Amino acid sequence: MMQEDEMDVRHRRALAESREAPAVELPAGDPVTAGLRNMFKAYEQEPIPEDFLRLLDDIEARAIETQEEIGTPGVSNDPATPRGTLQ
Amino acid sequence: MTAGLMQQRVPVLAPDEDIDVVDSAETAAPAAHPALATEDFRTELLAAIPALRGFARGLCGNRDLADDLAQDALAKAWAARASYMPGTHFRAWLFRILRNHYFSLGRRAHRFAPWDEALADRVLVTQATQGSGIDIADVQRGLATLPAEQREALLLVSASGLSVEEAAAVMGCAVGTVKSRVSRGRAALHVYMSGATRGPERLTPAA
Repeated sequence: MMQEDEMDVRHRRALAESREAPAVELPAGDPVTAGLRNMFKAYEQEPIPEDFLRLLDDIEARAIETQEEIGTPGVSNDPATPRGTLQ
Repeated sequence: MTAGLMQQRVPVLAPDEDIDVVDSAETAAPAAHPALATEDFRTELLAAIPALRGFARGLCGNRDLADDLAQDALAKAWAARASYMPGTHFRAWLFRILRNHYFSLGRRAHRFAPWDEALADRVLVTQATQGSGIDIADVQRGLATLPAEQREALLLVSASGLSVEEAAAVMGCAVGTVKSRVSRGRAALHVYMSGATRGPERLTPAA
């Protein structure tokens, strides 16, 4: 009888502990995690299209052109000022 | 990479900020904190492109659409660069911009095809993960069957290696919610992949 009570207490404690445990466990060797990481790595390793690398220069060039058209003060119209750089 | 950006402090954007917060940041007054030098910011942005494309690709399952999303996110990040707080997690900040853009576009126009089978077969030719016998294409197909919030949580935490706190900041939700989504997503993906590796009786991704 005494043993059953102790078992019951232990069982309830284990249950409580399991509820408090973190919901996420990410074992390193877990195949789902490994699959996801490898998929992500494969994506990262794909060649970056050229337009990505030009994108920021294009955005800045357009911004400067727009500012020049409306004559925004503080923006240089000096042709020596390189395009694509911030003033 | 600058030393400041290597730090992994969490506050990306406040979790309760609106989903289009970065759009409004473009026109907002200059931030009170010191901004990152433009060239440093540009360097960080360029270095983050592969991860940004990876996250976009995992989210929408289509390479062309993913590249559009990633380019939009880069443009938004560039425009909102004054709002980036140096010393916080740069990649998480970018991911937040991209996911906000993804979900706001998805809400405005239901134009997202979650899975492009033909393109995937052409682009992602079955690369088995080392030693595990798992096909990356199966992982991608399984991911596409998950609800977007579980897919996002798995991509951030399990695939890209963000902490749950960082992922919570990106997703704008509680840490416990991220844990729950990761846990459920992993369980569902495990079930899918178990079926997928058995042979021809593959589950088809949800439309």
